[in-house]
Amino acid sequence: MTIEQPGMSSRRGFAGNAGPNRRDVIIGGAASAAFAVAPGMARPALAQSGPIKIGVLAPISGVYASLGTHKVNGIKMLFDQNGMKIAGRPVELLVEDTEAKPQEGLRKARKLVESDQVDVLLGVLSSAVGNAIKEYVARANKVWITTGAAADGIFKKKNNNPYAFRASLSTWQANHPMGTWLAGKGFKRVLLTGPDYAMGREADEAFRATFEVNGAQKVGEVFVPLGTSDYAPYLSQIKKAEPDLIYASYAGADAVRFVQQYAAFGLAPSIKLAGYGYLVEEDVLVAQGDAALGVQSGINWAYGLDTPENRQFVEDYRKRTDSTATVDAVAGYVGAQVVLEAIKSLGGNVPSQLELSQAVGKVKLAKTPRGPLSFDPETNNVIQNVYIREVANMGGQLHNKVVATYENVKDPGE
Amino acid sequence: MAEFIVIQTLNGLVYSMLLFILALGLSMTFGLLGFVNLAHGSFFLLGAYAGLTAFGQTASFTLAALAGALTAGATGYLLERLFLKNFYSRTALDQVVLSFGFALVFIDVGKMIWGKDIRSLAAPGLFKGAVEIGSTTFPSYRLLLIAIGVLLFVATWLAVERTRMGALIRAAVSDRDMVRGLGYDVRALFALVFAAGALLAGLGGVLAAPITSVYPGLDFEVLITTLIVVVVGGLGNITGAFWASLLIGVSDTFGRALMPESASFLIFGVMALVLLARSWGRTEEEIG
Repeated sequence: MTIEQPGMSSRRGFAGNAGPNRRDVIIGGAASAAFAVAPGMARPALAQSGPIKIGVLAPISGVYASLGTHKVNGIKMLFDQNGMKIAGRPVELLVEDTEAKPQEGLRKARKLVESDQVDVLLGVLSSAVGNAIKEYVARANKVWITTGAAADGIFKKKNNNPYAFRASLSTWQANHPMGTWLAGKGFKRVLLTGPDYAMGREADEAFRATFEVNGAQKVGEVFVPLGTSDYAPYLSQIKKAEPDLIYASYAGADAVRFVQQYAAFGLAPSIKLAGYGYLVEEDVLVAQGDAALGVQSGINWAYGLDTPENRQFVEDYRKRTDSTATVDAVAGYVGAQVVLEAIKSLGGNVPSQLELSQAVGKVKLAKTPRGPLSFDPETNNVIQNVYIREVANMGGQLHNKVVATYENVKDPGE
Repeated sequence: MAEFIVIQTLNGLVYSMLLFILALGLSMTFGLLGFVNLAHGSFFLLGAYAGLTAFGQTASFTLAALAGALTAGATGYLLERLFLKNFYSRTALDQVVLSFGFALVFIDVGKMIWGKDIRSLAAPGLFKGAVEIGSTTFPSYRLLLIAIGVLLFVATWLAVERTRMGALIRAAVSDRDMVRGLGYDVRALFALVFAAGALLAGLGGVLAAPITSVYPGLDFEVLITTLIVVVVGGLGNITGAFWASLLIGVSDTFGRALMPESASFLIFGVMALVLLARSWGRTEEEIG
């Protein structure tokens, strides 16, 4: 603790020490200006030393803990498979917990960017956190590739910025083809249901847009608070509307309970159940049991996708974590693949964030475990295949098998 | 229309019974020990997880329920004997904060032992099916829960109103120091009631598991609703807890069925109304 002298400022700096005085500010300001201008000046493309630092943001605790853990596993697996190196340069992963809360996620992002000086940000699952981060990276000029944050509004043409990319999916992408598929199967009366917030509603609306053709129509809707444990009060209402199809956008524990109770209350034989991929994803199938058999859903991956890359991925994931791969694990893995490709294309260097962002935009992967991937320059959202899956018995266990593929689905970003 | 009322009443009763099992333990703990045990939800979840493990080993729902109840009860007893007993001379706030500490520790311990994924418990074999009520199919397991809840209420009421131990507990709730002055070991009573509350919560966890599933975070979800029921029913009051459970359970169910958009805040509204009605025209000292 220094004793104040004339000429020292009364502003408090870190830990109560004297803050900057005018001299310091002028010198500091000049130095910062010089550094800010420097990248524009011709600089020799020196190979950078030190590891490539990748900041990983995921919900490791809190309500999305299990999905966040799968994501981080996927990311770590990809880099481990590449010997923790990109183009010969070592990779350091700094993993931070967002707890699926925007203020926490933002705080951790700031820490990674400003004090840990990471080269790129990877991750984020919750759309609420995603919204906050997208604005932040535009101000901080840091490249961010998200492996989640599927809400439609986050990546649109009108809020596109060069630093934020979505390698996962948009809710629209996953649900839009389901409408076409199920209308094509002859269903005419759909009841929409889901948790009453952005994701739940966006999924059902995207489905409805393509479903309501040739006389098919929505006969009712039931949106419930997120985290509802008992659907009993709603199920008789659902039955009363006499739908031939229920389209549901539940995820996690809600999905487990809805599917179980849909079967327990006897709706199963007469009313078909379908929904957004998370309704019957691998992580909830075990808990749902036979109640989930035959349920169809749409998302950008399926456990049973029969390509060599996916078979290898699923096997490697099981060996590494002793658990079944899920769509979140794939999202983490593929997001990491994008980072690897982009930095590899720059020779293992990250000369500037702008160049890195251009490299990411140019990434075209043909053979990820989910199929091909590229980015739409107008929205920086991924262009990819969407799979219609059905829950079936595969080798004695319940998994999602592919019954149809919609290729190169692009979110319009309107 | 009649069928709608019947079905939703049954749904409401099921929910009420689950609430009652939890509210009972929490209410008695407050009535006797004088503080709100924020780890109550954790006992619920612990019981559910223990029941899951037991079911995995034995494939018997009954054994799972027993395992869940006993594990939670034993943990409650240990917690009381090792930690809580040193806090009775401290303020209620200290005790609440201690219990919250347990709850936080359990969040991570639970994840370490049982993982973060969502787990499910199947209803016992005999009750896997459903019964036809009018044109609706109603799961038999839910009917079983209603029966268990009513039995539990009757059993607990008899135990507290008609046995000597029950009289002791009621006396200690009214006037702890007098009972101690009469020569009874009030500390042992505390341990017993605390453990019994935890045991009930654990049992509730297993019984609710086929409906709610089991996952991290469930502990705090049930804690909030249980607190509402206990506030409405009056603290330390068994019949109060029973009627409050019925009120909250049935009104929540009908509220969701008729106005889904109001579902998140309806029971808080009910709680506010009850508190208002209870204090209407009475002075602060009278409510005391």
